Amino acid sequence: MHLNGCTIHYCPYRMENKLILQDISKTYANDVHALTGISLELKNGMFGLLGPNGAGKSTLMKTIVGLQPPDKGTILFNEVDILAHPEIIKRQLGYLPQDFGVYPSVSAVDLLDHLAILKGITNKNERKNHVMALLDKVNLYAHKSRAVSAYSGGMRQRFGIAQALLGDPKLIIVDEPTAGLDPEERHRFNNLLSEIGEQVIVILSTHIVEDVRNLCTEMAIIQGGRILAQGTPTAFIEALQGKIWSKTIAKNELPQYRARLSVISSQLNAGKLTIHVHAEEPPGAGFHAESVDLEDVYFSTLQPRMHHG
Amino acid sequence: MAKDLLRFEWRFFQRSFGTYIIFGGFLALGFFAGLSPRLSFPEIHTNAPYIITFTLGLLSLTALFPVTLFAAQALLREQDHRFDDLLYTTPVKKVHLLVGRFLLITMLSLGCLLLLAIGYALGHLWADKTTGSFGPFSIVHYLHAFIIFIVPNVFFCAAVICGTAWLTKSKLMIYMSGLMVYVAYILMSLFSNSPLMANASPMSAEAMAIAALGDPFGLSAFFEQTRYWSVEDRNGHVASLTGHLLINRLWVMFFSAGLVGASIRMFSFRVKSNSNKKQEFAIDNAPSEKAIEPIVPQFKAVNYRLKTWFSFVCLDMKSLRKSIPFYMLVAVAAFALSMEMYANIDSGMRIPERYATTGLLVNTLLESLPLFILAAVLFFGSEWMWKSQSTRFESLEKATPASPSIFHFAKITALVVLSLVLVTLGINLGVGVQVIKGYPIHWGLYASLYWFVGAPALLCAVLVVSVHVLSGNRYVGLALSVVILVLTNSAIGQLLGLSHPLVRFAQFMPGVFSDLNGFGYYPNLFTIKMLYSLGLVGTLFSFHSIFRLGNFRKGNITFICLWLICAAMTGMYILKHTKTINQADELHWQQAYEEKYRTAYQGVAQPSVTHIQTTIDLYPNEMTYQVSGSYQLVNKTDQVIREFIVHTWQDIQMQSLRSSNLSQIKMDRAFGQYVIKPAKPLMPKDSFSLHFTFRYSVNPWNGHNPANAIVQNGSFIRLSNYFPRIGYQSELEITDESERAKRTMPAATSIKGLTDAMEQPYPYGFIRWEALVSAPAEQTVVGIGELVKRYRKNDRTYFHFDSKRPIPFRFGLSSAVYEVKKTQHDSIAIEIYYHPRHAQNVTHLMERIKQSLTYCQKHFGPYPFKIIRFAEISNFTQGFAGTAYPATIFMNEEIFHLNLDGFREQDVINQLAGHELAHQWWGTVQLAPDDRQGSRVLTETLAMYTELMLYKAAHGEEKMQEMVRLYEELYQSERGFSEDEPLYLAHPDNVNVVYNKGLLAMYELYMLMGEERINHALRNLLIKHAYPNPPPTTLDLIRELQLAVPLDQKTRIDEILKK
Repeated sequence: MHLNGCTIHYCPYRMENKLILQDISKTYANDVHALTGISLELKNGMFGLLGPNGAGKSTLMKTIVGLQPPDKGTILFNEVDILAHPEIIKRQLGYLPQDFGVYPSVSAVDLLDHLAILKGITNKNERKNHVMALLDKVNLYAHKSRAVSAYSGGMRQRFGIAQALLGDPKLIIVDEPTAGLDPEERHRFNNLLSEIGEQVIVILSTHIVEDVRNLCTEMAIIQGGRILAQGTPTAFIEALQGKIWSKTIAKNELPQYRARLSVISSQLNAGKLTIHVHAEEPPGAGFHAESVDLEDVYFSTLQPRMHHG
Repeated sequence: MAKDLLRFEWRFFQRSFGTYIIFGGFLALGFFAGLSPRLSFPEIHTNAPYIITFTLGLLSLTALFPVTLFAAQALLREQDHRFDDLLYTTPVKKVHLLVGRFLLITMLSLGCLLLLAIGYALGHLWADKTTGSFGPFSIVHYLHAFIIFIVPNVFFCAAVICGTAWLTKSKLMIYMSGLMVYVAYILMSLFSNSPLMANASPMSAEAMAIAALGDPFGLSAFFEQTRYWSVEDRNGHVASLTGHLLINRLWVMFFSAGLVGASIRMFSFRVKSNSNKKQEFAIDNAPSEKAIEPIVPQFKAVNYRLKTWFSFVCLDMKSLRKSIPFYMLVAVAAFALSMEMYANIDSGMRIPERYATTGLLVNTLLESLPLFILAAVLFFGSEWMWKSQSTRFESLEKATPASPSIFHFAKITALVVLSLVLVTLGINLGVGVQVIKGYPIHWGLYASLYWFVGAPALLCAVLVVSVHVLSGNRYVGLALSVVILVLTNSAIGQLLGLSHPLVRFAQFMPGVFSDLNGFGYYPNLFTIKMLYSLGLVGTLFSFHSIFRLGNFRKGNITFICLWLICAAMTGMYILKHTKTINQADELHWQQAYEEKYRTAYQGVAQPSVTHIQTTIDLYPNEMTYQVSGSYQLVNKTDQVIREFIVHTWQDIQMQSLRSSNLSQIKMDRAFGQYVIKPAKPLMPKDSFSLHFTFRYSVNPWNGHNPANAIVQNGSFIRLSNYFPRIGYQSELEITDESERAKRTMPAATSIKGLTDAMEQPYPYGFIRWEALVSAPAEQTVVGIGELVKRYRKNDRTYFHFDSKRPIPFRFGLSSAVYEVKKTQHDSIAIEIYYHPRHAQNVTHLMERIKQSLTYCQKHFGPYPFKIIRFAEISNFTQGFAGTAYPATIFMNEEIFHLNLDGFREQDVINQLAGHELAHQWWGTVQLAPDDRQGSRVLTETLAMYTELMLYKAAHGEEKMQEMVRLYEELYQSERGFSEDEPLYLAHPDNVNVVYNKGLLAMYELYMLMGEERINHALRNLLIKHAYPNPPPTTLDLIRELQLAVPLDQKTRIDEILKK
C-alpha cells in the first residue's frame, strides 16, 4: 500500500487503540482555568487538536502524557486508568513536546540511545540497529555523531520525532511540531507522521489549520480550555457550505461591517481588505459565496456567535 | 544616565529576598565572631586593636562571597536572559553601564562587610566581660580596620571579579575567579607565616617584606609591622598607615582601578557568538524508504533498572570530559595537594625534612581531600540534579517510564565515582612524591583511602541528592546542602560549637596514621559514625518517596523504619560512650575541691613516700592497664601526724586502697580523696604502708589522653601522674584570676618567691622505685632505672625495673614491638629502642649519644646510672618531641623519623638527644630545684646551654651562631604574646623566657666568659647542690658564675641574667 510515495509496513494484526478523556479539568494556582470539562474519544489515526495560542493545547498534551496531573476527570487508554498508573501510558508513548532542549555536547546517537534505554529497549544490538534506522529515517544519519545541542531548529525537530518513534508506541503526541520549520521540512515532517498514523493514535496539536486539513481524519477545536467543536474536517466543511461570503472593502469600513455582521476573518492585501462573513442568507451587496475552507470553519468556531439580526 | 542605570540595577537586588538574607548573614557572622572570640592570646585584650584588625582583616576575605554572587547576577543579566540583542543596540554608553554596575557591586559588598564590622562591634559590647579581658571600647579601632583593610580589599575583590566578567563574559569564569582569589590567598598564607597557619618556623625579614608588599589583602603587611610589638602595643595601638602597609594599600587601590579601567575598555557590546556553531545543513538526500521496525520494549524489573541507571551514570560521567569546572577542580586540587604534601615533608626551617612515608602522605590526603570532595559533590550535585530541567530535556525524559528513584541513585553513583576519581588523583600524587623521594610505598594504606574518604563522600552525595529532591528548587537545594554540610562537616561548624559526634555528619577520617600504631582505635569509631550518618541520610532519602509521592507502600515504610532504627541504635551507642566535658562543671568541681581541702590540709605535716613497689600489667589491645602497688610512707617531719589525705585521679578507676596497719580510711568519692587516720598516730620517723589497686582504660570516644596513651603499639604512660599522691594538690586549683574573682575565691597557691626561705633539711621527696611490668610477649617494655630481670611466662613478658638509687616522684614507661640497638660506651650501656621500619637514624643517634655522654661526664660530672635508654613512641602521644626520665629518654616518632640526609646542620635529633641527655644532670636525679621563681632556668636553660655547646662541637662556631640567630627570632616574635620577665625570676610556665631568652642569655655568657669557665661554674654548682644537698636557686647559679670570672666581668653576669 502506498501513500505519498512512502511504504507502510503491513502488519497482519491491527490492534485497535482507544483513548478516552472524561471531563478533564485543571486550574492553575493563580486561578487560571487552563482546562475545563474536556471530554474526547480517540481511535487509531491522526487526530488534530486545533486552537489559538494559550487555548490549553499544551496543557492537555502534558496531562495525557503524565507530566501534569489534572484536578478532575479520568483518562482511559485501552481501558486502563492512566492517571492512576502513569507508567502504563509511558511504556507505550511517543511524545514530542512543543519546546524541548538537550544536554550539551552529547551526540545524537548517544542521546537517542539513552532515551531508547529509558524506553525499555534493553538489548544492546537491537537498540543499536533501531537507533540507526530511526536516525536514517529522519535524515540525521550523516550527522549522528554531532552534538544535538549544535543542531539547527529543523534538525532538532527531526531528532525530536525520532525519539518519539522509539520502541513501539501506541500513542504518539506531537505538540506544535512544525513551528519554526521551513516549508520543505514541514512537508517532510507531515509525510512522516502520515506514514505511522494508521496503526496508532496520533494527536497533532497545532494552530496551523492547513496541517490539520491535510493530515487529520478527526479533529477538535479548543479555545480557553474548552472544546468548542469536535468531528471530522469534512463534516465541518460540509456543515458550513453555502454560509460563507466574501467581499472586498476599504480599510476604514471594517468597523461598520463588524457591528452589523459576523465577520470571521479579514485579510489586508495591497491596501484593500477582504472579509469573510458567516451568514445563513446572503449578507448584502458585493458579497459572493465562498467555497468553504477549514480555516473558515476554524475562525467561525472561534468567533463568538452573533445575534442574528 | 549613570545614576538611572545604577538605580535600575539596584532594584533587582532590592526585590530579591536573597539579598537581605546575605545582609543578615553577615551581620550575624560578625556578631558571633565578636561574641565568642576564638582568636585569643594571653595578656592581650579580646577587643585589643591588634585582635580587631586581625579578625576584620581576615574576615574581609569573605567579601569574595557577595562580590562573586552579585557579579554573577548583575554583570551577565542581559546575556542570561537573551536581552543582550536589545540592550546592546541601544545608544547606552559602555562606561555608564559598566561603571554603574561596578559601583553597585562594590557598594553592596561593602555594605555586607560594614554590617559584619557592626555586628562584630556589637558582639564585643554584648560579650560576657568576665571571660577574657577587655580593654575600653573605642569605635576608632573598628573604623580604622574597616577603612584601611576592608575597603581596599573589597575594592580589589570587586575589580578582579568584574574584570574577569567583562573580559570573559562567562558566568563560570566569574565563579572560578572568586575561587582562584580564595585559593591563591590560602596558598600565600601558607608561605607568609601568618599566625593562622601552624608554621613552625619564623620567616626571614626579607621574605616578610616581600609578603608584606605582595599580599593584596594587606594582612602580611600588618603582621610584618606588628611582628615585634609588645603586649602593650597590641592592646593600645592601631596599625599605622606607613611603610610597607602604606605602599601595599596604595598599589592595591591603583591596581584595582587600573584593572577596572582596562577591562571596561576591552569590553565590547558584541553578543557572544556560540562556539558550537549551529550549522544549517541543507536537506541533502531523499528520506529513506525503509520502514521502521518497531521494537517491543522490555521492562523486566532488574534488567531495565540496571540499564537505565547505568545509562544515566555514563551520561553524567561523559559530561565531565567537556566540563571546564571539572578540569579546574582537578587542577586546583592537584596543585593544592602537592603543595600540602611538600609542606608537610618540608616542615619549615627549624627541623629537617620528614621522610616521605606513605603514612605522612595519607595523613595529608585525609586532611586535604575532604574540601575538594565536598566542593565537587556540592557543585556537581546541583549541576547534575537539575541538568534535565535546566536544559529542558526533562519533558522527554519524564515521558519515559524510568522512575525518579533510579534517576536519584544514578546521580548518587555519579557523584561517588567523581569523588573516587579525586581520591585516585590524590593517590597518584602521593605515589609520585614517594617515587621522587625514594621511600617505599605501602599500597594497602593508600587503598584504605577509598574507604576512609569514599564512605563519607557517598553519604554526602546521598545527602545532597536528598536535599535537592526535597527542596524542589536548584538554588534552595544548593544553599541548603551547603549550609548543612558546612555546619556538620567542616571546621567552621566546630568553631560554632557543633562538635558533638551526634551533630557531625559523615565525618571524614582525620589524618592520624602513626607508623607505630597505625590508625589505632579510629577505624572502629569511623565505622560506627558512618553507620549513624547512613541511618540519618537513609531516612531523609526515603522521606521523599513516602511523604512527597504519597507512596505508602509497605516496602517503603519498612525501609524508612530500617534507617530510623539504624540511626537510633548507633546514635544511642555514641551518646552513651561520649562524655561531654562541661567547662562550667569542671570549674565548679575545682572550686569545691579547693574549698574542702585547702585550708585543712595545705601546709599541714604529712608523711612522705620513700619506696614504691608496684606491678603493672599492660593490655595494649584492650587499651587498658592494671596496677597494683604499695607505698612505704615515713613521717619525715618533726610533728605527730594523726591524719593525712591521699589523692587519686579522676581518670583512673580506683579499685582498692588499704593499709597494713589498722587504720580508718574514709573515701570521698566525688574527689577521689581518701582521708586516712592511722590507728596509732605517726610519730616522727614512724613508717606506714599503703596498698592500692587501680585500672585505666581508654574510652576511644573521648579521645585518649596523650600522657596516658595505652594504645596497640607505641604506648607511652607518664605513670607518676596517675599514681596516688599524698596531700593537698594545689595544681587542681582554678588558675584563671578573673574566674576566681567571679567566684569570690582568695588568691591561688602561687610559686615561691626567689628569695623565700627554703626548708632545711630540704624535703626532696625522692623515692626508690621498683616495678614488675608485664606486656604481651611480642612487645618490649622500656621503663626507667635499671632492668634487673626479664622473663617470659604464659605468653607475656615480664620486666623487673629498679631505680636502685633515689629518684624524684617521676616515672613512666613505653611499650611497643621494638627493635633494639645496644652498645657500651665508657662503661655505660646505651640502648636505643625503635620501630623496625624506623632504623634510618639509629646509628647517627647512637654516635650523638656517645658524644653527648662524653661531653657531659667530662665537664659536669659522672652520669648517675649504668644505662641510658632512648625509646621511640607513637605520635598518638602529642605535646612534646622528647621527654627525660631517670635513665630513659622517650622520643616522639615525628622527631625520631626525620630525614637527615643533606640536612645535618638542622640536626634536630642531635639537639634533642643532647638536650634531653643534659637533663640527667640538670633535672631528674641530680639538680632538682624546688617550685619557685626562676627554678626552671636551672633545668631547661642549662639544658639549652648544653645543647648549644654540643651543637658547636659537632658543627662549628658559625653554625652555632646561626642557631642563636634563629632563637633570637623566636624569642622576639613570641615576646608580644606573653609577659616578658627577667630570666632569673621567670615563672616556670613562661616558656618563651625560660627556653628562648635563656638560650640567648647563655650565649651572651659564652661570649663573655667562654665555655670552659661556664662549665667550671656549673660543675661546682652540681657538687654543691645536687641531691642530697639542698637544691639551688638562680641566685646560686649567678654566684657560681661570678666566682669563675675576674672582677670586671662580675656585674656583667648580673646584667645578663637579671634583665
